[in-house]
Amino acid sequence: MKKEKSSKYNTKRREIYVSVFDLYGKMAFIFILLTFLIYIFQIFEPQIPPEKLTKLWSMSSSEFSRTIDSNISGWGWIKLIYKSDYMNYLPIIFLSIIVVIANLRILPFLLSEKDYKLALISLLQIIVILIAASGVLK
Amino acid sequence: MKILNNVLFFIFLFFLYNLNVFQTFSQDSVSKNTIPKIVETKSLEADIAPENKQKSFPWWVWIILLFVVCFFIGIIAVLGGVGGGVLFVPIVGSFFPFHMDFVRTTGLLLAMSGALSSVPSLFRRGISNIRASILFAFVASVASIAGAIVGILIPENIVQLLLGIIIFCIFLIMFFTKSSDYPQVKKTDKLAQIFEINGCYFDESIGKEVIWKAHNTLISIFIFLIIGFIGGMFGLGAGWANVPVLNIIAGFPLKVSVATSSFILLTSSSTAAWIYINKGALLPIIAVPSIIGVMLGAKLGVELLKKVKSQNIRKIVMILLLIACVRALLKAFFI
Repeated sequence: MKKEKSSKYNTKRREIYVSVFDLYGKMAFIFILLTFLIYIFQIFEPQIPPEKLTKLWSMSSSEFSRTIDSNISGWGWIKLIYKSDYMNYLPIIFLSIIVVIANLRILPFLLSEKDYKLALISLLQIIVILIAASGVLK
Repeated sequence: MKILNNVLFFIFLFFLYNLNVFQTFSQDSVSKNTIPKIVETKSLEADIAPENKQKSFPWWVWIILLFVVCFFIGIIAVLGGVGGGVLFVPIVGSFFPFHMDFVRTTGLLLAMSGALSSVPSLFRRGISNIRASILFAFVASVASIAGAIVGILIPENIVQLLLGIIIFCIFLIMFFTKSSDYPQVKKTDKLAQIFEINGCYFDESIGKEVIWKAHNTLISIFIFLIIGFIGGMFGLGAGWANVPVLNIIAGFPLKVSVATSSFILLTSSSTAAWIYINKGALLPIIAVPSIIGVMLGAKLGVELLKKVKSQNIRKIVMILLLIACVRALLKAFFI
């Protein structure tokens, strides 16, 4: 009975969101944990070993960037992706892009249902996040 | 249960006290001004002047402490019905030696992770309102970008000062607002009609279907702009404000407010986080233990939720916010 009741309110839209957030969310958390273990056990060489960070983490982000003499702002960290500390960026970036994936998945469905108002907001949402992610807003 | 609450509270205060001592110690040994510019990371140790090589706590002690504190934040955030970010940023920002840039990024990632883990189950239960979620999330995320851009430009002591004031305001909101399980909305408004912000869900606690509609949509949009801005500026997320606005202003039933709030929080936090990440304000060594700690704590919190009186925990949250508020204000004046 309870199952019937709850399924009545589970629309296709909800199912789309649930599938994206559930699957990609779990994937992101597993990768976060994995890359962090690689970092702290220094399986791959880090750009900045953890023991050196106690001298650096009280600096502002710009001061930090200047001090380590690596341009990690914007997408500059990509160049250091083979370093175990910057490897951690990947799953975190993935975590931050899940909302875009969810909106990309729901957009065709909203259009097929002729729900143009919501489709427009969903599209604008994707654009806003992509602009924020692009690094042009500084 | 009262004993449990008191124990939990004193354990937390104990950690805060210790962290404060540790931080003073750490700041004495490693002053910001005495850190030289390091040209090559590999020669970091060599480049640090001998007088700066005084004994400091090893990195892993800080990380374990951060994990433990975040674990308790996760428990208390769930029990107190607030997002993790609102406790994390003032507490870690005030009692740990990390710069606010890194703390705020982590706060947003925490808010995002917490929301991401709760959204699937809330959506499955069919309580949340998708239309309102998408609309309000968009508004809040646009404002959160502006908040993050402004936040990263202002000096740390000003951030601490404003954070102290904001945390005090959140304390007042928590103190004075009274939520309503099923607010009475006599007449819906034009905007709510256009976006069809209404719905029905089966409430297991009362065993019947609840039909609801919204009002004050325009006012709610305006408030979400402010919430998004503040959330982005301080990395607080917005769980502390979303629920009261949806419930008290927009007239959503409390359960719908909580479920809808998670989606808004997820979207606005992930948008604002990009601004900080693009500024290079992401340190995985701070972010990852915090995320894992809060998430594990939140899982335990959900279990404890059945046993602990939420009103008592709410009082603990308010006391913690007050302590963090005072500490942030003191830090703003370099005390």
